[in-house]
Amino acid sequence: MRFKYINSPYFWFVLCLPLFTAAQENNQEGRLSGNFQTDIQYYNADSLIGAAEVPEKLLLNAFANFNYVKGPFSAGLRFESYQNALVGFDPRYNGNGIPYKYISYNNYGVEVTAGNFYEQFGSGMVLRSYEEKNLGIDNAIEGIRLKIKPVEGILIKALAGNQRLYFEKGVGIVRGVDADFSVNNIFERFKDKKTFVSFGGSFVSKYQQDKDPVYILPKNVGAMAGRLNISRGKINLYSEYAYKINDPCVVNNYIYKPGDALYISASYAQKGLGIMVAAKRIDNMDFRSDRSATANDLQINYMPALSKQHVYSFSSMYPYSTQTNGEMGIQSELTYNIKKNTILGGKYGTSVTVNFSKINSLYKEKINDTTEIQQKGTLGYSAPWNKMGKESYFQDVNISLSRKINKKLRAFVMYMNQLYNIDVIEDHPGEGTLNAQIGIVDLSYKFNDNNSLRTEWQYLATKKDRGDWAMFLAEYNLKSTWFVAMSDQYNLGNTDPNKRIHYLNVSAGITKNANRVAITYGKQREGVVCIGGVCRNVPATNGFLITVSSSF
Amino acid sequence: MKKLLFFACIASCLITSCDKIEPPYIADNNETDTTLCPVPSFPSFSNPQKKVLLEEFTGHKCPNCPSGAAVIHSLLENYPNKLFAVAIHAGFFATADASGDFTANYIIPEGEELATYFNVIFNPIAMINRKKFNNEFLINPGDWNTAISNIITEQPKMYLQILSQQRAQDSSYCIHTKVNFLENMQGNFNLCVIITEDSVASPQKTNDAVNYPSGVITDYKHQHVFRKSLSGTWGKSIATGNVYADSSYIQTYRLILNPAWQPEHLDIISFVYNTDTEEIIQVEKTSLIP
Repeated sequence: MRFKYINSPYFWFVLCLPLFTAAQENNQEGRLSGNFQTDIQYYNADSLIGAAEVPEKLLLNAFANFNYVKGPFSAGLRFESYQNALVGFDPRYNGNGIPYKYISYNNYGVEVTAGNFYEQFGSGMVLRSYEEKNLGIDNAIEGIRLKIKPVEGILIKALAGNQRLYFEKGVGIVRGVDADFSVNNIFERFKDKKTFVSFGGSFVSKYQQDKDPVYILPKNVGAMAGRLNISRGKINLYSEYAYKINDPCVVNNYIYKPGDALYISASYAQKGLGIMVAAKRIDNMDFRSDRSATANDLQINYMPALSKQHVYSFSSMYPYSTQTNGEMGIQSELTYNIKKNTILGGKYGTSVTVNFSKINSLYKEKINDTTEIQQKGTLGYSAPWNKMGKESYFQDVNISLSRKINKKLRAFVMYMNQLYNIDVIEDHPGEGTLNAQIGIVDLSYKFNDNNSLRTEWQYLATKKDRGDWAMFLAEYNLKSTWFVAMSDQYNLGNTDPNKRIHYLNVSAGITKNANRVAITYGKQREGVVCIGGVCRNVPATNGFLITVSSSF
Repeated sequence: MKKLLFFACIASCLITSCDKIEPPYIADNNETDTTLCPVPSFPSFSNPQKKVLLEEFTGHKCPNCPSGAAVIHSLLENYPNKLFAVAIHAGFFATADASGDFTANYIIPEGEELATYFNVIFNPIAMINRKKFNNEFLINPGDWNTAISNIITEQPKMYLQILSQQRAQDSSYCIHTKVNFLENMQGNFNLCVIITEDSVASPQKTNDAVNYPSGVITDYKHQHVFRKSLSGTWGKSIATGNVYADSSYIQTYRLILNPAWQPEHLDIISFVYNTDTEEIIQVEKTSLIP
């Protein structure tokens, strides 16, 4: 029988009460902190850009976190309100509730958390529970977590619970244990060595009933991972390998092939120079606590992204979404600071960054003549490690320069060449691969200590999708408190002359102490937003957006 | 060291929590080749009625269960041919001993799976059409009548017909179920076909100290004992998405009798449920031997 009061805010208030009263009974000060944010949007229908009519006219997302810490104890909760959820967010968020609440204590090397928590084992390849509001992701685990440091240099974590699914919980149970060993801290004789070595291992198992009338499905699915990190001076090496047993699910079309993934990265950093090289191979590693879940629901693990996270509008217009069913990729980046007072470096020095990433399909072979690749209810395929898939999913070559030209003017310039496989990344078969050339110039001019102006000039050229785009943005900042901005994204290359639209936006805001209010009016183009290779579709909108955030 | 051992135990427990499935991956649902069991013509139907299934979780070591069985007996008399019952022997109270009074074993995997899925921890308790009552699937005996009366007045959405025919060649039985949709519906619907047996004699614990000072009814007749599911625990899909009125589906199974069963005491219960909500939409029962 489930404890039916566990989701009641009153239950949690009563449970937390002793903490608050204890703070008053002895003189040890407790500390209450928190933050609040709301996004309120008023929508106009705009058939030209594809912005549908919103019956409510006005929608809002809001949340408030409250955390209380007193000595080894902490407790907190988050209230969330979606009245109704903003367009582009899953309507299952509609409503109010306290989906996140916890009580924790940490004493004598033992930390116990009861309630909701976020957790990550290693790089997250077998378990990553996290929240990303911009993507509408929150797969917090509700259950119990233990963290124990038996000796210096060893950290062991164990957890069990259900994952959050909007205002409900997923049907599957997630159990996991992770151990991390820091060799230099455990053994006295390695303490003063210049080479630092740490390694770790994780095991995660999920349980879900098998009610399938056709297939025999595994009720318990286990995934394990091992990782090694070695660093010496300027060099750092990290690798992690994960393996998952048969896990037939909707996303992999119910195949019984085990999955695995390898991630390796190496970096070198010294003053003025940074080099990073990384590679990964993913084979059937979608791992969720409900085998029928899709999109971003109930993901247990996370596959590290291997493409650069861009921040400018056009460089992030076609972002890569990690293909958990199979991909192979590499990324490298070189950052070099050209010394100041040189011909190339100028008076203040220049920073140059060259980045390259390429992601291809996983090479898959038929398991026999009569079984198609990825055929439902079979082993699916075989994927030899010594072969690479030929289909290109994504490629990004970019070079950027950042330079302070004089005491008042700073410039950032970037060129980017991108290949983006629309068929695979957006699951729109037949649309082919897009090649985009992108140029960006960002100029910041500081009039004085209180006034500055920043402008962005961007151009994206492509023959596919909606064709060429141009963008201009101007943002004026006053005393680091007020700002006003306007931007225009112009789809000048659209093959349909009626859709050569200006997406004009004006915005203003104020930031004072820990409070910020901003208001934006204009059009938002349809697109995709990705963070760390995990993506969400953003529909076109036209209207006001008011954002208020505050913390204490 | 103790902490490390503790986590080593947790890790080893987790590592054993893996179900590696070997081919073939298809569940054996006893689905029958219709060349062995040709589908007969079903008679036309009239006057469809909403019918209800009571699934009781019970066990021969449960002292309170005879009183639960008495409630079921009374309810079946109150709702003749509109209410059917199945007694699922599962869990602690149903375990069989190596010797003594309780050597009979009525536990079957399908019953255990249902008890686990619906979190059954005490007996007697029942589900009425697998529909939540006071927000719970599991309902105490005192609420069974109310839960039934809430459902039984609903308009029927399906009509189920069961035909049972003994094969001359090998004495097995061909069991055909036809599902007739009476209105347009939306959802995922599975059909379950199960076998129950009445009047199975073996000892049963009781709390009736007056009539049974030993606490055991030695000649107890277990009714509606869940013997077998021909369609697996969760049935077989018959329709998904939009289903239209007047559409119909037929499923056929071949039943080979267990020699321990009494054929004249066997019944066939077929029911359709919505896999999204678990709710049983319609149920029908007939004797194995017409």
